[in-house]
Amino acid sequence: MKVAANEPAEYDALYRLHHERVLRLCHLLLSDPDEAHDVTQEVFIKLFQARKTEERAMVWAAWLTRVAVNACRDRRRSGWWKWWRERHAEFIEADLPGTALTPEQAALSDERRRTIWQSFRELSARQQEVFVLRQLEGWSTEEVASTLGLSPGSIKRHLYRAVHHMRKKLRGRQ
Amino acid sequence: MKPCLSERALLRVHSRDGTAAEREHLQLCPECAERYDALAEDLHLLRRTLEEPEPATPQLASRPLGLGWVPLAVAAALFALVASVPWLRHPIPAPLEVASRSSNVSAFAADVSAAVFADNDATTTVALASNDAPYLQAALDAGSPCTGDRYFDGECDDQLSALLLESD
Repeated sequence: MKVAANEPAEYDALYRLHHERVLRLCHLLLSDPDEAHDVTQEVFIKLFQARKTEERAMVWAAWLTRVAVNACRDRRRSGWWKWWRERHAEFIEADLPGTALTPEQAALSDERRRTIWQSFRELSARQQEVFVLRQLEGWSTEEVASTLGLSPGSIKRHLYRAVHHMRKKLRGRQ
Repeated sequence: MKPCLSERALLRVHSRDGTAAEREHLQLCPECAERYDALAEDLHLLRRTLEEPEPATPQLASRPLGLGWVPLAVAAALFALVASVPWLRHPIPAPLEVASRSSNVSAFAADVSAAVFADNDATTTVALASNDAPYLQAALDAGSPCTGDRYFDGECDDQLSALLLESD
Protein backbone atom coordinates (compact mmCIF):
# COMPACT_ATOMS: atom_id res chain seq x y z
CA MET A 1 0.00 0.00 0.00
CA LYS A 2 1.21 3.41 -0.90
CA VAL A 3 0.03 5.69 1.90
CA ALA A 4 -1.51 3.37 4.43
CA ALA A 5 -0.95 5.66 7.39
CA ASN A 6 -2.89 8.66 6.19
CA GLU A 7 -5.11 6.87 3.69
CA PRO A 8 -8.39 7.09 5.62
CA ALA A 9 -8.03 10.80 6.11
CA GLU A 10 -7.26 11.37 2.47
CA TYR A 11 -10.10 9.18 1.39
CA ASP A 12 -12.43 11.07 3.68
CA ALA A 13 -11.20 14.33 2.26
CA LEU A 14 -11.80 13.13 -1.29
CA TYR A 15 -15.20 11.87 -0.30
CA ARG A 16 -16.22 15.17 1.24
CA LEU A 17 -14.84 17.11 -1.68
CA HIS A 18 -16.34 15.10 -4.54
CA HIS A 19 -19.28 13.12 -3.24
CA GLU A 20 -21.91 15.73 -3.97
CA ARG A 21 -20.53 16.39 -7.42
CA VAL A 22 -20.38 12.71 -8.34
CA LEU A 23 -23.89 12.16 -7.00
CA ARG A 24 -25.20 15.04 -9.08
CA LEU A 25 -23.40 13.69 -12.12
CA CYS A 26 -24.89 10.23 -11.60
CA HIS A 27 -28.31 11.71 -11.10
CA LEU A 28 -28.01 13.65 -14.34
CA LEU A 29 -27.00 10.55 -16.26
CA LEU A 30 -29.41 8.15 -14.59
CA SER A 31 -32.26 10.41 -13.46
CA ASP A 32 -33.16 7.94 -10.72
CA PRO A 33 -32.07 9.17 -7.26
CA ASP A 34 -31.82 5.66 -5.84
CA GLU A 35 -29.79 4.43 -8.77
CA ALA A 36 -27.62 7.52 -8.54
CA HIS A 37 -26.92 6.82 -4.88
CA ASP A 38 -26.08 3.18 -5.64
CA VAL A 39 -23.71 4.04 -8.44
CA THR A 40 -22.09 6.81 -6.41
CA GLN A 41 -21.46 4.33 -3.64
CA GLU A 42 -19.90 1.93 -6.15
CA VAL A 43 -17.69 4.70 -7.45
CA PHE A 44 -16.34 5.55 -4.01
CA ILE A 45 -15.78 1.89 -3.20
CA LYS A 46 -13.69 1.74 -6.36
CA LEU A 47 -11.87 4.87 -5.23
CA PHE A 48 -11.10 3.25 -1.90
CA GLN A 49 -9.73 0.16 -3.65
CA ALA A 50 -7.87 2.11 -6.31
CA ARG A 51 -6.08 4.20 -3.72
CA LYS A 52 -4.61 1.04 -2.27
CA THR A 53 -3.24 -0.25 -5.55
CA GLU A 54 -2.56 2.84 -7.63
CA GLU A 55 1.09 3.81 -7.52
CA ARG A 56 0.98 6.71 -9.93
CA ALA A 57 0.12 10.24 -8.99
CA MET A 58 -3.54 10.57 -9.86
CA VAL A 59 -5.91 13.43 -10.46
CA TRP A 60 -8.66 11.84 -8.46
CA ALA A 61 -11.32 14.34 -9.46
CA ALA A 62 -10.98 13.39 -13.11
CA TRP A 63 -10.64 9.74 -12.18
CA LEU A 64 -13.88 9.89 -10.20
CA THR A 65 -15.71 11.55 -13.06
CA ARG A 66 -14.49 8.99 -15.55
CA VAL A 67 -15.40 6.06 -13.31
CA ALA A 68 -18.81 7.57 -12.56
CA VAL A 69 -19.62 8.09 -16.23
CA ASN A 70 -18.62 4.52 -17.05
CA ALA A 71 -20.57 3.13 -14.10
CA CYS A 72 -23.68 5.05 -15.15
CA ARG A 73 -23.30 3.76 -18.68
CA ASP A 74 -23.01 0.19 -17.43
CA ARG A 75 -26.08 0.66 -15.31
CA ARG A 76 -28.06 2.07 -18.23
CA ARG A 77 -27.06 -0.86 -20.42
CA SER A 78 -28.48 -3.46 -18.10
CA GLY A 79 -31.76 -4.70 -19.49
CA TRP A 80 -33.79 -4.57 -16.32
CA TRP A 81 -32.81 -0.96 -15.77
CA LYS A 82 -34.11 -0.01 -19.20
CA TRP A 83 -37.34 -1.82 -18.50
CA TRP A 84 -37.74 -0.18 -15.13
CA ARG A 85 -36.73 3.24 -16.34
CA GLU A 86 -39.19 3.24 -19.23
CA ARG A 87 -42.09 2.48 -16.93
CA HIS A 88 -41.21 4.45 -13.87
CA ALA A 89 -39.60 7.59 -15.18
CA GLU A 90 -42.49 9.73 -14.03
CA PHE A 91 -42.22 8.55 -10.45
CA ILE A 92 -38.47 8.66 -10.22
CA GLU A 93 -38.36 12.31 -11.08
CA ALA A 94 -40.65 13.17 -8.22
CA ASP A 95 -38.42 11.79 -5.53
CA LEU A 96 -36.13 14.70 -5.23
CA PRO A 97 -35.37 16.82 -2.23
CA GLY A 98 -36.42 20.42 -2.42
CA THR A 99 -33.68 22.95 -1.90
CA ALA A 100 -33.64 26.68 -1.57
CA LEU A 101 -33.35 28.29 -4.97
CA THR A 102 -31.13 31.19 -5.80
CA PRO A 103 -32.83 34.37 -7.00
CA GLU A 104 -31.91 33.35 -10.52
CA GLN A 105 -33.64 30.00 -10.25
CA ALA A 106 -36.57 31.60 -8.52
CA ALA A 107 -36.93 33.86 -11.51
CA LEU A 108 -37.23 30.88 -13.76
CA SER A 109 -40.69 29.57 -14.01
CA ASP A 110 -41.26 25.97 -13.03
CA GLU A 111 -42.54 25.31 -16.49
CA ARG A 112 -39.32 26.44 -18.09
CA ARG A 113 -37.25 24.35 -15.73
CA ARG A 114 -39.38 21.34 -16.51
CA THR A 115 -38.98 21.98 -20.20
CA ILE A 116 -35.21 22.07 -19.86
CA TRP A 117 -35.10 18.91 -17.81
CA GLN A 118 -37.47 17.14 -20.15
CA SER A 119 -35.43 18.15 -23.17
CA PHE A 120 -32.31 16.88 -21.42
CA ARG A 121 -33.99 13.56 -20.72
CA GLU A 122 -34.90 13.28 -24.38
CA LEU A 123 -31.25 13.30 -25.37
CA SER A 124 -29.48 10.05 -26.09
CA ALA A 125 -27.28 8.66 -23.35
CA ARG A 126 -24.17 9.64 -25.25
CA GLN A 127 -25.41 13.18 -25.83
CA GLN A 128 -26.19 13.50 -22.13
CA GLU A 129 -22.70 12.33 -21.22
CA VAL A 130 -21.05 14.73 -23.62
CA PHE A 131 -23.18 17.66 -22.54
CA VAL A 132 -22.59 17.01 -18.85
CA LEU A 133 -18.86 16.55 -19.17
CA ARG A 134 -18.40 19.38 -21.62
CA GLN A 135 -20.75 22.00 -20.25
CA LEU A 136 -21.25 21.14 -16.58
CA GLU A 137 -17.94 19.56 -15.67
CA GLY A 138 -16.00 21.92 -17.91
CA TRP A 139 -13.86 19.26 -19.53
CA SER A 140 -12.14 19.93 -22.83
CA THR A 141 -13.19 18.16 -25.99
CA GLU A 142 -10.04 16.05 -25.92
CA GLU A 143 -10.58 14.98 -22.33
CA VAL A 144 -14.17 13.97 -23.02
CA ALA A 145 -13.12 12.13 -26.16
CA SER A 146 -10.46 10.24 -24.25
CA THR A 147 -12.83 9.31 -21.44
CA LEU A 148 -15.67 8.18 -23.68
CA GLY A 149 -13.44 6.55 -26.25
CA LEU A 150 -14.66 8.71 -29.10
CA SER A 151 -13.00 11.05 -31.54
CA PRO A 152 -13.00 14.81 -30.86
CA GLY A 153 -15.11 15.32 -33.97
CA SER A 154 -17.70 12.91 -32.64
CA ILE A 155 -17.76 14.76 -29.32
CA LYS A 156 -18.41 18.03 -31.14
CA ARG A 157 -21.25 16.49 -33.12
CA HIS A 158 -22.87 15.03 -30.00
CA LEU A 159 -22.55 18.35 -28.21
CA TYR A 160 -24.03 20.28 -31.09
CA ARG A 161 -27.01 17.94 -31.40
CA ALA A 162 -27.62 18.08 -27.67
CA VAL A 163 -27.46 21.86 -27.50
CA HIS A 164 -29.53 22.27 -30.67
CA HIS A 165 -32.25 19.99 -29.32
CA MET A 166 -32.41 21.68 -25.94
CA ARG A 167 -32.40 25.17 -27.37
CA LYS A 168 -35.09 24.23 -29.84
CA LYS A 169 -37.30 22.99 -27.01
CA LEU A 170 -36.49 26.03 -24.94
CA ARG A 171 -37.23 28.44 -27.75
CA GLY A 172 -40.34 26.56 -28.73
CA ARG A 173 -41.76 27.01 -25.27
CA GLN A 174 -41.09 30.72 -25.17
CA MET B 1 -16.36 39.65 -45.14
CA LYS B 2 -17.12 35.95 -44.76
CA PRO B 3 -20.70 34.71 -44.40
CA CYS B 4 -22.16 34.53 -40.94
CA LEU B 5 -21.23 31.68 -38.64
CA SER B 6 -23.48 28.68 -38.33
CA GLU B 7 -24.92 27.61 -35.02
CA ARG B 8 -22.42 24.78 -34.99
CA ALA B 9 -19.55 27.21 -35.46
CA LEU B 10 -20.88 29.49 -32.75
CA LEU B 11 -20.98 26.54 -30.38
CA ARG B 12 -17.43 25.61 -31.32
CA VAL B 13 -16.27 29.12 -30.49
CA HIS B 14 -18.16 29.08 -27.21
CA SER B 15 -16.62 25.72 -26.35
CA ARG B 16 -13.12 27.05 -27.08
CA ASP B 17 -12.85 24.79 -30.11
CA GLY B 18 -13.34 27.48 -32.74
CA THR B 19 -10.77 28.49 -35.28
CA ALA B 20 -9.00 31.85 -35.33
CA ALA B 21 -11.01 32.87 -38.39
CA GLU B 22 -14.30 32.09 -36.64
CA ARG B 23 -13.30 34.09 -33.57
CA GLU B 24 -12.20 36.98 -35.74
CA HIS B 25 -15.46 36.97 -37.64
CA LEU B 26 -17.39 36.99 -34.43
CA GLN B 27 -15.61 40.13 -33.28
CA LEU B 28 -16.44 41.93 -36.51
CA CYS B 29 -20.03 40.77 -37.15
CA PRO B 30 -22.72 42.29 -34.89
CA GLU B 31 -25.32 39.83 -36.09
CA CYS B 32 -23.16 36.81 -35.21
CA ALA B 33 -22.21 38.47 -31.94
CA GLU B 34 -25.89 38.80 -31.09
CA ARG B 35 -26.53 35.17 -31.96
CA TYR B 36 -23.47 34.20 -29.95
CA ASP B 37 -24.77 36.09 -26.91
CA ALA B 38 -28.12 34.34 -27.25
CA LEU B 39 -26.37 30.99 -27.41
CA ALA B 40 -24.24 31.81 -24.38
CA GLU B 41 -27.31 32.93 -22.47
CA ASP B 42 -29.16 29.73 -23.30
CA LEU B 43 -26.22 27.57 -22.32
CA HIS B 44 -25.92 29.43 -19.06
CA LEU B 45 -29.60 28.87 -18.42
CA LEU B 46 -29.30 25.18 -19.27
CA ARG B 47 -26.32 24.74 -16.97
CA ARG B 48 -27.90 26.56 -14.07
CA THR B 49 -31.10 24.57 -14.40
CA LEU B 50 -29.40 21.20 -14.69
CA GLU B 51 -27.20 21.94 -11.70
CA GLU B 52 -30.27 22.25 -9.52
CA PRO B 53 -32.56 19.41 -8.45
CA GLU B 54 -34.98 18.16 -11.02
CA PRO B 55 -38.49 19.57 -10.52
CA ALA B 56 -41.29 17.20 -9.65
CA THR B 57 -43.80 16.49 -12.36
CA PRO B 58 -47.42 17.35 -11.51
CA GLN B 59 -48.98 14.02 -12.45
CA LEU B 60 -46.94 12.14 -9.91
CA ALA B 61 -49.28 12.42 -6.97
CA SER B 62 -52.26 11.16 -8.93
CA ARG B 63 -50.56 7.93 -9.99
CA PRO B 64 -49.59 6.00 -6.91
CA LEU B 65 -48.39 2.80 -8.51
CA GLY B 66 -49.51 2.43 -12.11
CA LEU B 67 -49.94 -0.86 -13.87
CA GLY B 68 -46.35 -1.93 -13.97
CA TRP B 69 -47.12 -4.97 -11.82
CA VAL B 70 -49.61 -6.45 -14.31
CA PRO B 71 -47.08 -8.06 -16.68
CA LEU B 72 -45.25 -9.57 -13.73
CA ALA B 73 -48.45 -10.98 -12.28
CA VAL B 74 -49.51 -12.46 -15.62
CA ALA B 75 -46.08 -14.00 -16.10
CA ALA B 76 -46.16 -15.51 -12.61
CA ALA B 77 -49.63 -16.95 -13.19
CA LEU B 78 -48.60 -18.48 -16.51
CA PHE B 79 -45.52 -19.96 -14.94
CA ALA B 80 -47.53 -21.50 -12.13
CA LEU B 81 -50.01 -22.91 -14.64
CA VAL B 82 -47.33 -24.45 -16.85
CA ALA B 83 -45.49 -25.85 -13.88
CA SER B 84 -48.64 -27.54 -12.57
CA VAL B 85 -49.63 -29.26 -15.85
CA PRO B 86 -47.54 -32.45 -15.32
CA TRP B 87 -48.82 -32.76 -11.80
CA LEU B 88 -52.43 -32.37 -12.95
CA ARG B 89 -52.00 -34.99 -15.67
CA HIS B 90 -50.47 -37.57 -13.34
CA PRO B 91 -51.84 -36.98 -9.88
CA ILE B 92 -49.95 -38.61 -7.09
CA PRO B 93 -51.74 -41.88 -6.03
CA ALA B 94 -50.68 -41.49 -2.46
CA PRO B 95 -54.22 -41.25 -0.97
CA LEU B 96 -55.32 -44.59 -2.53
CA GLU B 97 -52.24 -46.36 -1.31
CA VAL B 98 -52.78 -44.99 2.14
CA ALA B 99 -56.38 -46.10 2.06
CA SER B 100 -55.54 -49.63 0.94
CA ARG B 101 -52.78 -49.78 3.48
CA SER B 102 -55.07 -48.64 6.25
CA SER B 103 -57.73 -51.28 5.32
CA ASN B 104 -55.08 -53.99 5.31
CA VAL B 105 -53.86 -52.85 8.65
CA SER B 106 -57.37 -52.83 10.05
CA ALA B 107 -58.04 -56.36 8.85
CA PHE B 108 -54.74 -57.56 10.19
CA ALA B 109 -55.41 -55.90 13.53
CA ALA B 110 -58.81 -57.55 13.72
CA ASP B 111 -57.31 -60.96 13.05
CA VAL B 112 -54.61 -60.45 15.64
CA SER B 113 -57.11 -59.18 18.14
CA ALA B 114 -59.40 -62.16 17.63
CA ALA B 115 -56.52 -64.58 17.98
CA VAL B 116 -55.07 -62.94 21.06
CA PHE B 117 -58.23 -62.24 22.97
CA ALA B 118 -60.22 -65.37 22.08
CA ASP B 119 -61.16 -67.15 25.38
CA ASN B 120 -62.16 -70.48 23.80
CA ASP B 121 -60.29 -72.80 21.58
CA ALA B 122 -61.49 -73.67 18.14
CA THR B 123 -63.08 -77.03 19.00
CA THR B 124 -65.18 -75.52 21.78
CA THR B 125 -66.35 -72.84 19.47
CA VAL B 126 -67.22 -75.37 16.78
CA ALA B 127 -68.96 -77.63 19.34
CA LEU B 128 -70.98 -74.77 20.71
CA ALA B 129 -71.89 -73.77 17.23
CA SER B 130 -72.89 -77.34 16.40
CA ASN B 131 -75.02 -77.74 19.53
CA ASP B 132 -76.80 -74.46 18.98
CA ALA B 133 -77.43 -75.09 15.29
CA PRO B 134 -80.62 -77.18 15.61
CA TYR B 135 -82.21 -74.64 17.93
CA LEU B 136 -81.26 -71.83 15.65
CA GLN B 137 -82.62 -73.70 12.64
CA ALA B 138 -85.82 -74.47 14.53
CA ALA B 139 -86.19 -70.83 15.50
CA LEU B 140 -85.74 -69.86 11.89
CA ASP B 141 -88.24 -72.50 10.76
CA ALA B 142 -90.63 -71.46 13.56
CA GLY B 143 -90.72 -75.01 14.75
CA SER B 144 -89.25 -77.33 17.41
CA PRO B 145 -85.76 -78.74 17.20
CA CYS B 146 -85.38 -82.30 15.99
CA THR B 147 -84.57 -84.18 19.16
CA GLY B 148 -83.86 -87.87 19.44
CA ASP B 149 -87.35 -88.63 20.70
CA ARG B 150 -89.02 -86.73 17.92
CA TYR B 151 -86.73 -88.34 15.34
CA PHE B 152 -87.61 -91.84 16.45
CA ASP B 153 -91.26 -90.89 16.63
CA GLY B 154 -90.96 -89.87 13.00
CA GLU B 155 -91.81 -86.23 13.55
CA CYS B 156 -88.56 -85.04 11.95
CA ASP B 157 -85.83 -86.46 9.78
CA ASP B 158 -82.71 -84.53 10.85
CA GLN B 159 -80.64 -87.41 12.10
CA LEU B 160 -77.60 -85.31 12.88
CA SER B 161 -79.57 -82.91 15.06
CA ALA B 162 -81.29 -85.83 16.78
CA LEU B 163 -77.96 -87.37 17.65
CA LEU B 164 -76.49 -84.04 18.91
CA LEU B 165 -79.44 -83.14 21.05
CA GLU B 166 -79.70 -86.66 22.35
CA SER B 167 -76.22 -86.42 23.74
CA ASP B 168 -77.24 -83.41 25.88
